[in-house]
Amino acid sequence: MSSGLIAETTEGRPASTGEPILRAAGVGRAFRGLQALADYDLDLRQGEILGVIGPNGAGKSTLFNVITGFLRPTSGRIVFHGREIAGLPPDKITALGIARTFQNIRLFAGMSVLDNVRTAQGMRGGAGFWETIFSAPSFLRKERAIEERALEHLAALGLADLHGVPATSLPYGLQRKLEIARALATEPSVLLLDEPAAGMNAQETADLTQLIRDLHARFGLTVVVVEHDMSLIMRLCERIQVLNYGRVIASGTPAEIRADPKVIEAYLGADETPDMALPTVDGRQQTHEESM
Amino acid sequence: MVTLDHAGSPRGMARSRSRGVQRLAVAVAALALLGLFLAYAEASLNGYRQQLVTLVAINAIIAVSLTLTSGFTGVFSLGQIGFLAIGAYTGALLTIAPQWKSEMFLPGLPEWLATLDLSAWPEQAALLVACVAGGGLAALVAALVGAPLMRLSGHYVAVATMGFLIIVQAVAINWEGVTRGARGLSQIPGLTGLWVAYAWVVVTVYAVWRLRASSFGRAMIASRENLIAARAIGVDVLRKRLLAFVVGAFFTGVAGSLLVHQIGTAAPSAFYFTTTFNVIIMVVLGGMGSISGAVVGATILTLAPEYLRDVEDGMDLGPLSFGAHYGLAQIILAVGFILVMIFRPQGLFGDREVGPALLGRFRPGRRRPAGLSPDATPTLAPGVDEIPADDRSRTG
Repeated sequence: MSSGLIAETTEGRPASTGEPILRAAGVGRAFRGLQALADYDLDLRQGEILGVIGPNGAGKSTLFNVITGFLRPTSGRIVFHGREIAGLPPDKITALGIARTFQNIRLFAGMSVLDNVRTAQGMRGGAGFWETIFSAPSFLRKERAIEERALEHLAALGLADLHGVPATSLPYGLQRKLEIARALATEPSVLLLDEPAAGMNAQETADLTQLIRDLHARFGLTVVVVEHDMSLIMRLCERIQVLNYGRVIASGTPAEIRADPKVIEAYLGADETPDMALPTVDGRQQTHEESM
Repeated sequence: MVTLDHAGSPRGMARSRSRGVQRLAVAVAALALLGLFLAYAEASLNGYRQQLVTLVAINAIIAVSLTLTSGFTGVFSLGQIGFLAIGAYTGALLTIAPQWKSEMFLPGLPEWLATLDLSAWPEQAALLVACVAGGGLAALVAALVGAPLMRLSGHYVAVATMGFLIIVQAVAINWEGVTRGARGLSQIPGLTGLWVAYAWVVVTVYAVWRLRASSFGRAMIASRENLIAARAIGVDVLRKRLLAFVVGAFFTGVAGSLLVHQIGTAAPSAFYFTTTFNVIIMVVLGGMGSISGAVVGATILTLAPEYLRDVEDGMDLGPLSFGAHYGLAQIILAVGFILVMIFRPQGLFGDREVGPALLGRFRPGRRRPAGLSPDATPTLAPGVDEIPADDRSRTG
C-alpha cells in the first residue's frame, strides 16, 4: 500500500518539482482504540505545496501532531531528509527544519510581536550560557543578528511596523500572520500550516493565499496546508490529499479531487458540502494585490 | 531589507550604541547610589538596623533566585528553601572553627572537614569560599533533583519540589553527626557584612538580568506563556527549566551561607515552610516575572514587620490614641497582601522592571499601530489555552 502510493505520486505530475524531502509510510495513531490516523503515506517533494482536506475529525490535526512530534505515532515510519523522526520530541524536529502553526492560535501572550518572533529566531544562533552571563561581544553580535533576522521575518508578513505591540493586541488575522512569522523564524525547510484561513473573510483569505505563495517562493519552502477553505486549497495547492476517518481516501490534483466521487461522498456524508465549484482555472491564476 | 529606524540602519545602530552608553551610565549611577547608601548605613545605623538592612539583601537574593526559577519559567517551586538550607549548612561547616566542631560533637564529618580551619584566612576570602561552596553544592543537588522534577508542570511540580524540601528538612533534623539535629549548628563566625551581602545582590541581579535579556530568558518566558508553542519553535523546555532551577539554586545556596554567617546559627526550623512562604509572598507581591519586583518585595517583607511593631505597641497621635494590640502587625501585613492581590493580581510590577533604560528593552517600544484602538485589551485568541490532553502528557 505504502510503496504503491509513493510510486504513484512520483509519476510526472506538474507538482513534481523536486526531491522527496519528507516521507511517511504506514503511519498510524490510535487513541485508546480509536484510530485517528491509519496507514498514512506521504512522499512530500522539495518545493511543493500540498493540501490536506477532510471533514472535521478526519485526522488532519492528528497528522500534524504526529509529524511535529507532539504525538508519537503508534505505527509506521516518518523520514525527513533521510532521517527517521517518528518519536523525536517537537523541539528536535523543529531544529531539523519542520515548523508549524496551530489551528487555535498559540502566541506568547505576554510578549511583544517582536519578542514572539525573536524567541523563535534565537533557537538558532543563540548565544551560549557564559557568553550571555558576561555580555561578551559575541553575545551582543548574536543578539543583534537575531533581532535583524526576526525583523526581516516580521517584514515578510507585513508586521514590521507593529513589532513593539503586545502580540495579543493584534487583530485576529494579524495574530495568524504572526504565528506564520514565528514559524518562519525557526528557519524551516518544511512549513505546516494548520487552518491558516480560519476566521478570515473571503478577501482576507485571498490575500493570505497570495502571501503563502510569496513566502513559498521567497524562502524556498515546502508547504503542507490543512484547511477547510476550499478556495484557498484549490488555488494554492498542486496536490491534495483527502482524509476521512483517519485514512487517505483520495489524492491528486485539484481538478482530480473535485471530480472524485469518494470525496464528494465523504463531504456529503459529513453533511458539510464544500463549495468546490467556486475556484476555477481563472481563479487559480487570479492574482491579489497585497492589501497590507 | 527592513526599513526601520529601529535596527539595521546606521541611525538605528547609533541609537542602540547611545542607548548602551546611557544604560551604562544609569548602572554606574545606581551602583554609586547603592554605595552611598551602604556607607551611610554603616556610619549611622545601629547594629540592629544594619543587620536588618543586611537581611534585606539576603532575602533579595533568594527572591531574585526564585524569580528566575519560578517567575520566568512558570515552574512553581516550593523547594527553594531546601537549597537555602544546603548552602547554609555547607557554608557553616566550612568556617566553624575546628575546636567548636569537636565541642559540638559532629562524628559524621570527614576528617578533613572536621579539622579544616579557615580562621587564619582573610575573613572575606573564607566567606567567599563558604558562599561558593554552599551555592555550588546547592546547584549540584538541583541538577540531580531537577532532572526528573522539571518534566512536571503546574501543581505537580509544586508538590514534588515541596517533597524535596521535606526531605532536606528530615535530613537536617536526623543527620545528627553532621547537622547536630534540631539543636542546629552554632559558633558560626559572623563574617557577613553589609558590603559583601549587597555585592552578592548585585552579582545575582546582574546574572539573572543577563539571562532574562537573552535567548535563554525569552525561551523560559515562552515556555511559561505557552508550553506547546514553545516546544513547536524548538525550545528544549526541560533544559531551560533545569538551567533556571540550577542557577536559582546556586544563588539561593549563596544566600544560605550569607545568612548563617550573619546570624551565627543554623537550625532546621529556619529552613522550612514559614521561610518558604515568606519568600513566595515576596516574589508574588513584587510580580512573578520581575527582578526589581522581587527586590522590592523582599525589602517590604523584611522591613514592614519591624516598622509595624511600633504600631502594635500602641501610639499617640494627638487626639487619637491607640492602645497596644499584639498581632496587629501580622493582620495589617496580611490585609495589605490581600488588597494587592485583589487590585493588582500580577503583583506590584508584573513582568516589568523599573528603570527600562537601566534594564534594557524588556518590552520594546510601546507604541501602538494606527488602526488599533488604544483600549484594545490584550485578549487571547479563542481557544488559545486549549491544550489537548495528549499533548499535556508529553512535557519532557
